[in-house]
Amino acid sequence: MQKDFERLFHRAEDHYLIPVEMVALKKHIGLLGKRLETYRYLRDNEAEIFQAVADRLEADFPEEPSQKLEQCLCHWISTLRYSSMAMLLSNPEYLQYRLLEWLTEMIEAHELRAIETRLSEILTEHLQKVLSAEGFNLLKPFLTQSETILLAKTAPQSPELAMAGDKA
Amino acid sequence: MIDINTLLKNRPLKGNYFAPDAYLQGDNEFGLLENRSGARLLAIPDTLLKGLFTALEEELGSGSGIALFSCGRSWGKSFYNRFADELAGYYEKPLAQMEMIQFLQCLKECWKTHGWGVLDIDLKYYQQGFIVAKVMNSAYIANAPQGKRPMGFLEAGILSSFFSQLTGQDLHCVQTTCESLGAESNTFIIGMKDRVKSVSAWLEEEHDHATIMELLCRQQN
Repeated sequence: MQKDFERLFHRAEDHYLIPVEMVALKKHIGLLGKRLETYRYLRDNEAEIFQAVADRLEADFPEEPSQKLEQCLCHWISTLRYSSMAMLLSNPEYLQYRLLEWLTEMIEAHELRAIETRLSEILTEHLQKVLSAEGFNLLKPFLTQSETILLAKTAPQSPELAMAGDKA
Repeated sequence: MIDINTLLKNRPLKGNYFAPDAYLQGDNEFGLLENRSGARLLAIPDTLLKGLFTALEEELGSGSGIALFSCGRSWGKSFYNRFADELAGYYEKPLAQMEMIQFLQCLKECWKTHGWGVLDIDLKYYQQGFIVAKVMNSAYIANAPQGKRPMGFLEAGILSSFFSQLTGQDLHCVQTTCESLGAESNTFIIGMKDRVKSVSAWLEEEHDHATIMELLCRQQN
């Protein structure tokens, strides 16, 4: 589940964690607290966040039928929910397998890429505004992973690469 | 104006039912393997698959294909029913209300998560009455005798009955390319029996998949 912790727990085995590992553990616990805080904020403010995004999206695409815009909004509501959990678990594979690889072709088939691209921009801008800088940075790699896979015309990025990007 | 609260109340926002980490459940202690709905799964070792293919070839010769096709056909029927029930339950809507693209996406994920290979469904010839299915890295064909003839009989059976159930028509399925013969993927054409019956003859005349599709569409016109 929690990749950061898993590595440490596996390493411990028959000995107490060495000081460096204890420092790493403390750091991960601190980060987990911040992730949880960000997760809670996103959970409690989901409707407000997406109402603001929906209003801007409608202004940007006045000609599009609202049914189409609603469909795009649903995709990104799901994406943010799964991204938030992936952030909490610090696990890009969770996001990849539970949502992205399944959703990508549906977006393609419905030819929604233009609207979804704009939606993701608005959502990212909005989240950057409402989240703390630290909270946004914790969520950002998963938003990038979603954008890269859902909206890219090139081959999808693998979870490992997204993870590497996360660390860089 | 879009009201997000209404949207959140009325629309299901679920993701991939077949995500491997959620779909495959089990209890190591009891040696149980189940899917997320509690249906039992069976892990088949490569050796058993190889053994089945070899034994059938030994016993039935070229007739082994027909036996495997029948097995696939009867298995595919139960597979469709279970697949449809589980999807309808998870996404909280009857299958008839599900979009075709979502349904097919679920089928592809299901195929992959069960370890049968990577499935792709091409609906380009749907208007002409054909569905083309491609399977890459087929676990069945990897264990079948190599270099003899197309060996995806089991999959052809599954696909024919799966799509027969889905469309309510009695469909047949013929394989045109096979990984066991060095092709990149296994290609299957699904359609009404009398419309795809010429495919076997064209295969014997060594026509490739693209030519066969062209001939099928021309025959249609």
